This record gives sequence, C-alpha cells and structure tokens, in this order.
Amino acid sequence: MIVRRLLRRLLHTILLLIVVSAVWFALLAASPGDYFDLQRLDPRVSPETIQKLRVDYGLNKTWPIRYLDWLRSVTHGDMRVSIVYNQPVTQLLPPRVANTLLLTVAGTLLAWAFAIPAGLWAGVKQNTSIDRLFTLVAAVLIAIPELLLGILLVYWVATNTHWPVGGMHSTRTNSFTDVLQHLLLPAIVLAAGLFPVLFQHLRTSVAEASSAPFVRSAKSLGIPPHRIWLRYVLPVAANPMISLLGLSIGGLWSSSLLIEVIFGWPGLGPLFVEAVMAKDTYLVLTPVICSAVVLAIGNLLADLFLLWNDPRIRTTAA
Amino acid sequence: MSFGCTRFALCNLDLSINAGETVALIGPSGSGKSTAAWAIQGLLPQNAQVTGSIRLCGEEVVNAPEKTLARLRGHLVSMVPQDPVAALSPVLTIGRQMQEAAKGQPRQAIVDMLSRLGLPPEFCHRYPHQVSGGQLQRIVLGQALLCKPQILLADEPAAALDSTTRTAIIQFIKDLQCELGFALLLVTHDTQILEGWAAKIVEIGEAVSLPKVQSTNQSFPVETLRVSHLSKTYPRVKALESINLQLKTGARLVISGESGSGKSTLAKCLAGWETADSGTVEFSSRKPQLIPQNPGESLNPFWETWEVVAESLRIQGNSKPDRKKQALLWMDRVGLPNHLTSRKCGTCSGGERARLAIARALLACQCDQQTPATLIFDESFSSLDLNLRAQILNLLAQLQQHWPLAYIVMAHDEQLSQNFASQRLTMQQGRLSA
Repeated sequence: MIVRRLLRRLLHTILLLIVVSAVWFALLAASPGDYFDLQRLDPRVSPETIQKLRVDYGLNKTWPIRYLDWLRSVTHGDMRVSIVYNQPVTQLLPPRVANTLLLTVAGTLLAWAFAIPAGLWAGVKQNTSIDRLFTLVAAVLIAIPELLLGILLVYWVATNTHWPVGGMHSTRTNSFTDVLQHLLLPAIVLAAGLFPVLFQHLRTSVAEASSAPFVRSAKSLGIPPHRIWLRYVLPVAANPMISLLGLSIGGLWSSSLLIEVIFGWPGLGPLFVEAVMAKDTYLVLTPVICSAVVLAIGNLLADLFLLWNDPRIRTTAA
Repeated sequence: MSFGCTRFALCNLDLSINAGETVALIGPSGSGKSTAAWAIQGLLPQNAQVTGSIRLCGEEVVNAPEKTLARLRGHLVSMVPQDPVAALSPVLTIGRQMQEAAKGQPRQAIVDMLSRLGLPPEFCHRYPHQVSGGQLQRIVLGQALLCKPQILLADEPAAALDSTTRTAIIQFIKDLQCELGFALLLVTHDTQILEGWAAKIVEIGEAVSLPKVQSTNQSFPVETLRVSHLSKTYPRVKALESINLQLKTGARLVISGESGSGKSTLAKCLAGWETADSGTVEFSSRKPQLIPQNPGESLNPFWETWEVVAESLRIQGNSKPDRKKQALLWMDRVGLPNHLTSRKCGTCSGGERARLAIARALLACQCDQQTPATLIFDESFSSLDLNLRAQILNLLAQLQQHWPLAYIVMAHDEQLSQNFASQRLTMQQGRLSA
C-alpha cells in the first residue's frame, strides 16, 4: 500500500519536474537576446565566430527542440554544459547543493527549535503577557521582508562587531567552527522568516486541540493534566505541524537562494543569479529543478509522518 | 448560569443527590440539561458565568481552583458525555483511552468491562472511527465506570442505542449501581427508560408524548430509488452484503437494526458519500439527501443559521435576499423561531442544529415540485426530545402531501417505526430482511 503511494508520488514529481523545466525554458527563450549577444560587442570576435558558437551550443534551434534535446540528455544523466563556466553542470552542482542544504537544514532546525517551545507555551497560556510577547515578535518578523532583515543584520553586525558577515570561510582557515560562525547569520535570517508561520500554526492548533470535546471528557474522567497533554492534546495538535514541515523545507530552500546572495554564501543562490543574468539556460534549470525536488521530498516526508501519526489517514489510505 | 452576558442557559436549578440515589434530570432540548451536568464538574467553557453553589461531598465546585477540581474528577464524579463520537480522541485506540481512564488498573479490568458492555476484547485495538455510534456510546460509559466514581453523571447514556442493547445497558448500569453504590444523575429526554428506576425526577420544561402520524395515500407513486446488489467491505468488516431495495414516492421506509449492523454505511452509499464496492444505486432525478447521525456536526459553527440552510442555493447562484427568504421559510417550517436566523450555528442547541440540518436537506430537494426526491435520515432523530421529534415527523408527513418525497429512516427506535413507517425492514450484519 505504502509502496503504491510512493510510486504514485514519484510519478507526480516527475511530471511536475517536466512541467516546471518546460515553463522555465519557455520563459528564458521568450526574453530577448542570448549569451552571445554580449560577446558581439567585443570587436575582437568576428560575427562568423559567434554564429559558429551559436550553432555549437545549439542556440540556433527553436526552444521546444532544444528542450526536447535537453530532456533526452537528462535521461542519460547529462545535464549539459554551462556556457558561462564552460564546465558540465553535473560537475558544478554537488558542492553548491551541499552548501545550500547545510544552510537550509540549519535554518529549519533553528526555526523549529524556537517555534516549538514558544508555540506550545503560547497555546497553553493564551492571552497572558508571555503569549502577547511571542505573538508580537512573530507579527514583527512576518512584517519584515527577509531581504531587508538580512541587509540590516549585515550592516549592524559589520559595523558593531568582528563577527564574519560574508562568505563561508575566513581566509586560510577551513575549520568546522569557522564554517559554523559564518553559517550563523544567514541561518538566523532564514529562521526568522519561518518562525512566525510555525509559531502561529502551533499556537492555534494547540489551543484548538486543548479545547476539543474529547479533552473535556478526558478531564471529566479525572485523567491527570500532564497525561491529557501528552496523550490527548499533542498528537492531535501535531497533525497540522507535520503538513507544515514538508512545506517549510521546500519554502526555506527557495528563500535560502535569496539570502545566499546577500551573505555571499557559495550555494546555489549566487550561481542561479549569475546564470539568469548570463542567460545560461542549462545552468538556470538546475537550481529550479533542485528546489522542486526538495519540495517534493519534504511533502513526501510529511505524508509518511502523517500516516504514522494519524490512524484515520491510515484507514483511508488502506 | 449564563454564557457571555446575553443568553441564560440555565436559571435557578435546585438539585440534591444522596449517596447511592438515582435522580433524573429531564426536559426538552436546549433547556440546559447538559450545561448543568458539566457545571457540576466545573468544566464549563471559560466564558460561562456560574452563580450559586454546587457542593460535592461538602466541597464547593463553583469558582474552585482547577487543582481542587482535578482532584475531585474521576474518583468522586465522572461523566458519560452526550456525544460519544466527540468524546473520544480520534488518534488513540479505544484500549489506550480506557486504560487512561482506568488509571493503573490491570488490563484485565478493561477487557472485563468491555465484555460486560457486550463488546469483544479486540475492540481494544480499534480506533473510534472504526466503531459504530452505539458501540462508542457503550465505550464512553465503560470509561466513566472504570473510574469507580461516587457520583456518575450520565448525559443521554442510551440515546444512540437500539432497543435491545438499550435495555441491556440500562440493566447493566442498574446492576453496577447496586454493586458499587454510586449515585446517578441521569440526564435524558426519554421518560420511558425512567420507569421503575429514578427515585427523584427534576424537570426542566415539559415532556410531550409522540402523537401518531396520519399516513397519507399518494395518488401516483413514482419510483425514486432502485438499489441492486449493493455491497461494501471495509478492511476488517463486511458492512453491506448484496442489498436490494426499491422505493416509491410517499414511502416511509424505516430500517432498524443493532448498532454496527451497517445502517450508516448503507445511508452513506445511497447518498453517494461513500462508494460501494459493487452493485448499483439508481435514482430517478435527484441524488438522495442524507441527514447524518450527528447532524449538528455537519454545520459550520461560524456561519449564521440561514447561510447554512440556504447553502445549496448559493451554489446555484441565487441572490442573497432570495436565499435569506427561502431559508427563513424552511426554518419556520421545521419549527425554528425567527430570532434564530442571525445566530451562529455553534451557539444553537443539539435539537436546534438537528432541525437546521433537516431544513437544509429539505431546501436542497425543494427546488422543483415535479421531480421526486429521497431523504435519508441516519438516526437524525435520536438527539431530539419527543416534542420536537413529533413536530418534525408531522412536518415530514405534511411535506409528502405537497411534494413527491420518499423517506428512508435508519432508526433503532421501535416507537418511531410503529407510528411513522409505511414499510419496515431490519438490518443484520450487512443484510436486509423484512
């Protein structure tokens, strides 16, 4: 049963990837000019050379044909060559993906680590001063765009402290703590974007679950409060959070691309911006596809967790 | 006692129960019977204001701190809530939840309790959604009794049970009362079960017996529904086995059967809420409308009542004033007062919500007088008191004179099937028989 579910999910993901990559291909093709238009300004390069390069890279064909060519080579594991770097995309990717993954995971963990205790606390003690404080913080964070928050943080930290604000390594050091120090600021900004969403959902679902009729019934049976919390409230309140986990992983991956650019983090983000600027189609497609894959994996994880947590879903799935 | 500051749920109730005594609290729906029961345990919502005094074995409950109350609940007083579906956590097995209530008693105590309630021990491993409404009601009762309370508050403990099980369960409560000697506060609208039982009866409002509904002869009955070889199997249970059924307008088919016999599944399959494994359901024009087992739960609590009633018209694109007019008309016809229109569904009583659901289904079928329609009631009447039930049944009979309607009523209520039914069938382990 689960295997069939997984297979169906896999099929959906593949369809999604095909549609997403086709849309990006079409968008890039629709925007005027290509990589070699910039080269044409250089008087040392003759128009014939440029024309020959265009043919070599296949840019003289229409986009649907180029797209089908690309699809065919992708099925053989070849992501084509980046024009800007003049390197196969498959060689450029792994270190970049690893760096972005590191940042995303750090941001996710940080956000959940703060949101779970805060959300539980605020959900239990609704309308107390602690609840209002957390809610205020969440409202402020959700109102500030991550881009602005990132820039403000870089400005403040750089002018007031000696904490590293850009890149991933200090010069000539490559220690783990050094990477962690560089990781902290972008991870905080990432987490600040996710925290309010998680907090508000958790607060609401805890408040809702704790006022459910079955909780009142459990109280009337004299079940001690801590057991009511562990057994009755939390498992039910966890459901919406699990669905959110999948979405949050996918969402964070996308916003980490922006933050990487601000903090000079050598992940997929800067690569993506560069590729878009240079109209390096094959290179643009990789971060796009990666982020679709991450979103799909996140949702799949959430699905499996839900199956495990909620017997009602197990019954419908069976 | 009042909620917020506008509506009084209950005024000036005086009640005393001695050890081992049985007191019945009776009255029509919406009179605040359940509110009184929850108030005794200090479990009313936070916006409720309670004035006066409630004393349990000398301890004051009104405005008592939560810690004191938590100490009293369970061993001193426990409760069988009215709606067993809502009273159990959907994500824990029944065994797990009974164990929580049993607080450290051996597992055998739970199995014994289940078997005394007429349920097999494998129910421990099932989840509430895998069990029928009547079985859940017994489980909730078992939970309350596992606490071994000195006072048991039972809010309609037999409402969702068929007559055979009801007699058995009432006898079971009586036996256990003799054995354990707890005092019982019985909240009910069913005065019949009180015969030879309650020592004291406290009445809120007045009870009315069910009048006989005049059967009418429809001049040209048309076939509305034809079911052939309908079967449905759930992972562990065979719910329906080759059901055959024909229904003509003017018919009032009452299907009775023990809880868990597949009545709800049949109702859902007919209305298209569930897909059957095999067999066909043909209807002449409009899909049968189902009024579910807990009609109150099918209403969005945040919507105003008229919006809920006229929702089918909104889907068809009718204007707001028209929708409101139609809704008012039908709410009036099911006996809902005018001032209810501006209220949110969540603030209506159980009986009022049942009538709202019926009004909504009737409105959804009413659109055209020429086309026959079928209404299916799945125990929709069990939460209504006799007075309201009679009104609704009369209304249903009247409607049949004006519109080509057919009714299927799933009920365990013998009296209902005697007075209301034009046809009667019994359901047993997924099979229909005459």
